[in-house]
Amino acid sequence: MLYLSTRAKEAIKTGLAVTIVYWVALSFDWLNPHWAVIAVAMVSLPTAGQSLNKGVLRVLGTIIGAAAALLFLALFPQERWAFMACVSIYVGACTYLMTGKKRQYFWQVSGFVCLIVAVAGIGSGVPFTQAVVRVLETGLGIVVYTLVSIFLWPQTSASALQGVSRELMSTQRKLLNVILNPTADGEVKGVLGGLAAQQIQLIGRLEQVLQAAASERYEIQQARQLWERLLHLSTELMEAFDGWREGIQDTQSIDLRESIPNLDSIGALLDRRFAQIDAALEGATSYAAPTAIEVTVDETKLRGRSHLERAAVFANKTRLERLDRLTGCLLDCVADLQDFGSRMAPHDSEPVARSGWAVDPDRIQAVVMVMASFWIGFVLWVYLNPPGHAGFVTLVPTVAMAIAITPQLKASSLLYAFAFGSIVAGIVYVLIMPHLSGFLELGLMIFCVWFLIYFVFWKPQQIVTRLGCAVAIVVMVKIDNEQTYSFAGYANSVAFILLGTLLLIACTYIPVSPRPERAFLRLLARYFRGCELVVSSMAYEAPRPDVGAARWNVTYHRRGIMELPQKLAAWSRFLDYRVLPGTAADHVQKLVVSLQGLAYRLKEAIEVRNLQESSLLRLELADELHDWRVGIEETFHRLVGNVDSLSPSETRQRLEATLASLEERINESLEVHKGSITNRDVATFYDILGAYRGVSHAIIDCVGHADSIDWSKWQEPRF
Amino acid sequence: MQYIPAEFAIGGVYFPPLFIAGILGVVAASVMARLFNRYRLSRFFFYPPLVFVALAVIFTGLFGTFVVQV
Repeated sequence: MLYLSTRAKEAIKTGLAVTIVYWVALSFDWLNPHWAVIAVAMVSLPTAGQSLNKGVLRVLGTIIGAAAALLFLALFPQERWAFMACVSIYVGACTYLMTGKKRQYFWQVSGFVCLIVAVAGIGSGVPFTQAVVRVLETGLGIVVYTLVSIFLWPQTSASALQGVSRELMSTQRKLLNVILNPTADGEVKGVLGGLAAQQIQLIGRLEQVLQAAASERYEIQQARQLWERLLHLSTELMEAFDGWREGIQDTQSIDLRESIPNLDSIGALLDRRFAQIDAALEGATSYAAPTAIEVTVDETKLRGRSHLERAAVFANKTRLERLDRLTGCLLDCVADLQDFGSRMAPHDSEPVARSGWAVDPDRIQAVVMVMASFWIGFVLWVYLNPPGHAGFVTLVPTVAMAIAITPQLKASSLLYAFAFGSIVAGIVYVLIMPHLSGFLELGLMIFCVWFLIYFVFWKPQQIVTRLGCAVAIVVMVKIDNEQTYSFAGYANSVAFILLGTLLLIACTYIPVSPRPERAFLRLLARYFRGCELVVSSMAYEAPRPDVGAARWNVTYHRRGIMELPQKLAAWSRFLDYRVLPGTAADHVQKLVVSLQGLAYRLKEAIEVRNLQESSLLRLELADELHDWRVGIEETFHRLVGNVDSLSPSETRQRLEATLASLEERINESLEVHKGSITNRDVATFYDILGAYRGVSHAIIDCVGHADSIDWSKWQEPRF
Repeated sequence: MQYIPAEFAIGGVYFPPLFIAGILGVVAASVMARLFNRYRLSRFFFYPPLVFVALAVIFTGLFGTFVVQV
């Protein structure tokens, strides 16, 4: 029996689907059969669910895009500038929506299909026919590939869903045990780093697999809300783990097991919950509902400790309570998924926080880039009419939209993919095709070419090369019933691909440089600016921004500081360290991790601030808290201007001095107001202290990591 | 005798001479940009992408005048 690898099977499936699609389209004499082939190339993914999900989005996007194009053509039949303005606004809106978190591919397809149908409609004079053919052939490509992937060596996502979720729960269980039972410092850090990275990857994978599996199986689609809740809770748990790890650093001088006597039993209980979750995911049919854990602090062990140290212990108590709540909700969620146990009571569930709407400047930059490529392409077409003609208005913005989704992708890498595809297309078009007759020979050639492309460039990292070759071949070879051979046509297509890619490379510099180090510095400045504004919004004396621009500004920056570390992590993977001597990849990664930690501390501080307005101690020490907050604001302000402007030792001294003077004032206030300040006042004030102390320590950590990088090379102009 | 620009013929396909000069100009500008980066001379420019465009235009002119003769 012939053994075929997964790689060969996937290549065979794609080759077969493309051959069938060409056969059907040519048999029915449909216009532009290559549109169906491009649909196959785009939805050719590892599992049937992923292909189906992407295929559905593509069909819906095609219908909406084609309808929009026909609408614009009907509204502006003889006004090219108004027509192009409308199309560009539509494409810009699609670009903004496509760079969001939901239905990215739908908006992307809607945008470029509108372009293609609009421009093809102008050229052919029969726009409605072009629109219908586009929808028809897209549907054909998706249906054929879906059928091929279902009947021939099917790979499903449904079985992967249980596996990925079990793996994620197992990783989070290991992380919990490591952070609650640290051994040697170096050993813990090494293990923690690996587990934390694995956790992030698994959460991303679970999201993808869930989307694909929901397209494959009805029962998964029915339980989709519960799966999404599982994902959300896992993400919250990831944040809670990071918060606990950061918090432990504040209590290094204290034996936490003495201060929180039942810490070990809490750890064991949380571990038992994860064991129940694992059993439930493996098919266990019963479970014990989680009971709330009471975290107790032994205040006798904290006698003689400074108020700030006590505040740190109480902050850790709050974090433990959060871990308890999240793991309880997770267990309930898994029980509901397996269809046993009671449904979650609303008050027991972890509320899904709504962060409000805010404009993302990175998405606006993507819109500007795509619209600029559209208008430059249009002007070139109208006034210069270079080889490729209308292709400058269709292909260039389409590829620009693909780059907008992954801005780290270098546009110059497309040049190599298109060049290789052009060479293969030339060989096929000039040397092979003129000797073929009948569909049998043509079909065999099509199958072999597509099999080779998908077999050679099979790795996920090679997707750009794979698609670039595929698109180049499809565009240049142009298989049709009335086949013509023109070397001039082929040469013009090569010239167009070359010029179009050069134009695209130029457009990626609009409005900002795409160089990874520049993008990193921009995001870093934005991050510190956001931190500065968030800290200023925490002022008790300032009015709470409930409406209007002020509220929008705060929402925008609060969201920004949570999302920017992930964007920084994404850009840091593409830094070229050969041009950044004095910078090690490890230092950059540590800086990004410290920025994420600072974001969590600020989030905790915001939550505490919103709860502690009328605390008596808070009112008594308002001036000291104000000075502390202003000092932190000033630190962020200096970091915005120049990330290298602060020295770690000076920053540490200044913040430690502020903490020491605050400690003195707390002692004085407690002495003066001995009778009127209750233990509850003190306990709730410790929440504020813990949060501010956490932010201070996180800033010291960030400044320390930033100091280890030679920023002068980052700011150097470079080609 | 005045010089009359002639097309480039590759495989029977005629290309405008300015196109060939442009391709050569961009290639030469790319090579120069890499050399500038290699020897850290690019730090003396305010905005290197525009400098690249300028270099491409200059090299296109030079190739067009002395090599391709547009």
